[in-house]
Amino acid sequence: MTDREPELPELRGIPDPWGGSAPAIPPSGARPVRPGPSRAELSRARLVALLVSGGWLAAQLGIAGLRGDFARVPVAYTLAFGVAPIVAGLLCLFAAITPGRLGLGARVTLLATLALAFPALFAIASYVYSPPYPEAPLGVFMNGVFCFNIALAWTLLPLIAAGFALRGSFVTRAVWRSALVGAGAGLVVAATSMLRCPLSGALHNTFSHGGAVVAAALLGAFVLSRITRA
Amino acid sequence: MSTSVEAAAAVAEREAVRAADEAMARYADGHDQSFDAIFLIVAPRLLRFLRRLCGREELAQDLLQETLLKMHQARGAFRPGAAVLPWSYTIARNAFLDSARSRKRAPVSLTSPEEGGPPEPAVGADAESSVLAREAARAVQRALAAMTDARREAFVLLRFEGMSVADAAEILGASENAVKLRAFQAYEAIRAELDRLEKTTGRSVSS
Repeated sequence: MTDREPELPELRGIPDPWGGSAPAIPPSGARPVRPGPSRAELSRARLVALLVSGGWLAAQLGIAGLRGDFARVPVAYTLAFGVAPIVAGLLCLFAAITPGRLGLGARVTLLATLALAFPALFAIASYVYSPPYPEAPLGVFMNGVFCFNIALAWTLLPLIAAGFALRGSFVTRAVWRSALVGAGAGLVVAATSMLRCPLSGALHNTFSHGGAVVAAALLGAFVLSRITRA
Repeated sequence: MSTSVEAAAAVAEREAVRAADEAMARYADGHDQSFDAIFLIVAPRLLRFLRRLCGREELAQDLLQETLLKMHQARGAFRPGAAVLPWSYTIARNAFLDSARSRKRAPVSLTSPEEGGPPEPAVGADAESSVLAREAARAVQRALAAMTDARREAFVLLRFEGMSVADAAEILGASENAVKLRAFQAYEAIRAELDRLEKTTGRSVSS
């Protein structure tokens, strides 16, 4: 480390070893048989992916139905865990695809903050918020594992759809942006899980539902990013 | 006189880059023929950038082809109104990093200036200063080869590619302060190498 403030104009004093040589460019650059999708095609693909994913996640509620005691669930609980995560999830998706100043994506600090904060906030809020009615009977570990797996399974199709719609789209910060896509999908699934799952214990919500959000974000960061990176 | 020539060259450069931006926007909209205009303007710059990053002519050529393929595939993600150079430099950098990883971080071996072309000749340079320029070029290459990718990238973008700190920070996905610091650390390493050369020859080698 240097303790001097960088003096960038000094860089001009460094000679350019390649400066005088005009690079020999092959007459024609490499071209695929068919170029990638145009902007309009990509927009359509993204819209289709969003609609398919939205339909898929709505189907979760259609198949499993709302929790039996939904009428007795406080409105604040429904808003906090059934609606806010959907808004947060959509915000994550928007941040992931927003073009930023040079079309290279949003700033890494914003992306990292959202990708870390939303899943963590969801998990912590799930723990801190005490349901105002009795805990569901706990034989809970297996229920928890089951719920985690189900939530993650529901997340897979949106992630696959995102893989198709966003392949090769992120030229920078692909890991953070893909983590946001994963977190976004995970948050929406967590919201639907909260609406259908009859178990309301803090630990169950934290580790089964919140854990699935974290897992989805990790899947995005480490698997989806391999597809989305240009 | 030379100032007006430089100013005219700068204007021509800006025009060319703007034309490339517009061509890329058309290409992103599905106008396949526009890629030829992009290629003419962007490819030489990308090749120079890659050559400076990886230091090997053949590898730079391969990475250029890979970059062009990725540009074709990612064209729909190009935002209208964005600049094609930072976008394509970022893709080129990704290709370089992938290649470096797949080579298991083999140390960069930079070719000699003779292999890649002569160094910038000074106007009216005599034989001695020409030799000195060549030695200086080798010293810069040695220093670039020995430093981390992060420092080399920052230095190359700021010094040789003429990027602003803000644009370089966008391309590298780092903060502006981090880019400045990396570039300055690279500068210090190169300066140390040049100082050794100056001590040996007793002549200043800064351009």
